[in-house]
Amino acid sequence: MLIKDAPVIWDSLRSIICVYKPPNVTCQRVRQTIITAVCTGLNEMECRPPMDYVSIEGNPSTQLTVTVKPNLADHPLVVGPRYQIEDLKCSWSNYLGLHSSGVLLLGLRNGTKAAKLIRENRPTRSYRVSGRFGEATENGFKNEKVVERSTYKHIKHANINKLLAAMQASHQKEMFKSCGVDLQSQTAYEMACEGPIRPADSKLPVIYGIKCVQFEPPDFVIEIQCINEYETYLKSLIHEIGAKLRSTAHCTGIQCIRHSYFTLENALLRKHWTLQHIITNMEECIAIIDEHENLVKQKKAALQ
Amino acid sequence: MLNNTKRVSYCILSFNKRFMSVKRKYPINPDDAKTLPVFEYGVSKDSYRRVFVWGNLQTGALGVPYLKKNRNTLQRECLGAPKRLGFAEKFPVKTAACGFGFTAFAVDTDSGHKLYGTGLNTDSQIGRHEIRSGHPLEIIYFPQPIHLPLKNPKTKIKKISAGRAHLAVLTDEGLFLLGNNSYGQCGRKIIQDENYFMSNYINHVRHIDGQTIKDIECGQDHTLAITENGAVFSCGWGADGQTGLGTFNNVSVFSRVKGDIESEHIIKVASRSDFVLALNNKGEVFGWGNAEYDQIRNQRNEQQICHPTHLKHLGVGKVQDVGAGGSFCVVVNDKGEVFTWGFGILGAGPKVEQSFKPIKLAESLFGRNDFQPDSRVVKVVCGLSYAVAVTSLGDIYAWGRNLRSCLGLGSEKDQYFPFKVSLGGYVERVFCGYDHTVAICKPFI
Repeated sequence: MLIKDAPVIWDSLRSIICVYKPPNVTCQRVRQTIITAVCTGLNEMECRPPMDYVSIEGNPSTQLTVTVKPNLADHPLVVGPRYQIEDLKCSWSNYLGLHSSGVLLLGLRNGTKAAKLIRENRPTRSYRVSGRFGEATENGFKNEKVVERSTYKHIKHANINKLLAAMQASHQKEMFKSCGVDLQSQTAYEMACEGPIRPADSKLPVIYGIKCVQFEPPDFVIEIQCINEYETYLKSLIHEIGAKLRSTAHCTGIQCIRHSYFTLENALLRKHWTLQHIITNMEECIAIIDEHENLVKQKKAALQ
Repeated sequence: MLNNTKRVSYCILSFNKRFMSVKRKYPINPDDAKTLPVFEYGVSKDSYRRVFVWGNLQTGALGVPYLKKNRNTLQRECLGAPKRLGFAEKFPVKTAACGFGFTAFAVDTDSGHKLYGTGLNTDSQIGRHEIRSGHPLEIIYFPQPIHLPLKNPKTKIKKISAGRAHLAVLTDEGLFLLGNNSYGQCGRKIIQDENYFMSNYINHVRHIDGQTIKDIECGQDHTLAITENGAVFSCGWGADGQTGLGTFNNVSVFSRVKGDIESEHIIKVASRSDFVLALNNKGEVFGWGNAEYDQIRNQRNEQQICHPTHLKHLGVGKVQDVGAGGSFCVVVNDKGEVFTWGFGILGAGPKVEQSFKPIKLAESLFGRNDFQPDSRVVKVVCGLSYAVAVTSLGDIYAWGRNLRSCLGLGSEKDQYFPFKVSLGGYVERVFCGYDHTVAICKPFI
């Protein structure tokens, strides 16, 4: 690191970082770990020296001496490290559940505003969800007790593809209904001609693309591109696929591989959650945001 | 969706906050799963088809008599969304036809009745049904068997087509026509003041001109037949030139349609009311009939064209499928592009009300986008004032005037651009009537 001054680095921390959230860890814990890493990193650098204080001593009637003394009240060993965990603001742009892993966008300090704008812009996210046929569990995930078993030998790759294509088309139709425009207007026609659009509602999950990328019975992996989704929704989707294919299925893993223009390549691994890497990552993210203005500013309802 | 969670408990103000999980004292034993029985749900037979119906309920054409137990059918006007037909679960329905207020289903059996009909029966278009002898029923609410005088019980019904008040059934034994014959559309001599309600005359046409009949199509009050060498024959109402025989008279015998199609090998004709479009094996389109909505533009500005005309200047490429509604036409070319022209709700938004030049409907309207680059339209079927397109993925998109929710989109409003109809299956074929629609689909697995 060429810069040794912590205040300079502190001032530059004002944007988004892209982090790879490990599974079985909550978002809050990730956030705390990142904040701690940043603060410890900053505190190890050259921080602001204790402010001197001017001390006027002596007898006012006789001579007064003015001396500048080091201020013990400002010393890090007395007051605490310069950069406290409570000082650093950090918020996430998309929420990943306990069992999900993958791209997580965090905004530091001023970047919390950008994170909020990105979230409200509702960009699409891509997930790789893996599932397993033959067993249904209590909560749709592999960590719970199995409640039902069924055969799955009759399921072929073609069956899954066809079903997912039908689901995809139905979801794309639903996005029109929730786009907030009267279906009988010219605007609705023009929007339909352009292709997929983002819904006006922020609560309704809409799936734009879904296809099966791997199928080794009983395991399968599907790639989903969606908006407004949440972890339980993805698990229930796997369950529904199992039911529609006359079998049962449960989810074995969820990974977010893309959040608008941020992919797994931009995401910081757990071993790299140190200050140096965070700063480099921030620079990359700034470059991505500059390149794609529509991340932060919404211009039209078309899909990004 | 997931209501199997038992004893979900939350620990508020605690570090271990659980959500959607069960409080356990001991960890889960994976061997417990092996003691569970293995269910086999089974897959459908290859020949199994699901039939969905929607539209006007009051004519009985949907074959859905009771929606809720002990509730009168007449209380509900229409089915806004596709409903699965219970009749199709008991009988394997192969094909169907939608007329003006009635439907006919062809069932694949070797013994027993092969043809069932439901809906309006004012002209015996779906056979004779009576509870009290001498008092036939005017309206049927559930598909009832239609007795066809077949010689061989193994005869199969190849196609059925229905017009306003007549029904044409093409079987291995030839063509059977029943219903109204006031214009000669049943291919038999017009009898003055015939009471079609009581007469129940079924006309049997074995061959036309010595050739076997390959395909049939019923317009509003006329019937068209294609023989195996690609020749088109027609009979029925001709006042708008829809018979294409060069005259505006009613014709009661199947006569050869000449004009521009005399030397062509026609593979399909489409006609829902009084305009006819024909498609030959090279992908060229011919039209005749009532062209007052600019379906055919010519120099003499004729509105009724009784000679088949080659539509050369359409500019739509090689055509794969045609559909002719009451006031508009729709064609699909071999690239899957859909073109429409005429008058009415053409599917290009609320501003486009008429066009004599074919307008291309954007492919993204039929579901073609980055996520589905392979989806293309393969078939198109026209009702009187609406149209339905079937894509290669098994989806259907409907647009047009939403008379009694015949579009199946859940609302009663007109649809100005193609919108997907939600169905439980992959659609194979769609049949459109005046205010109701029937779709035959394959199941998911």
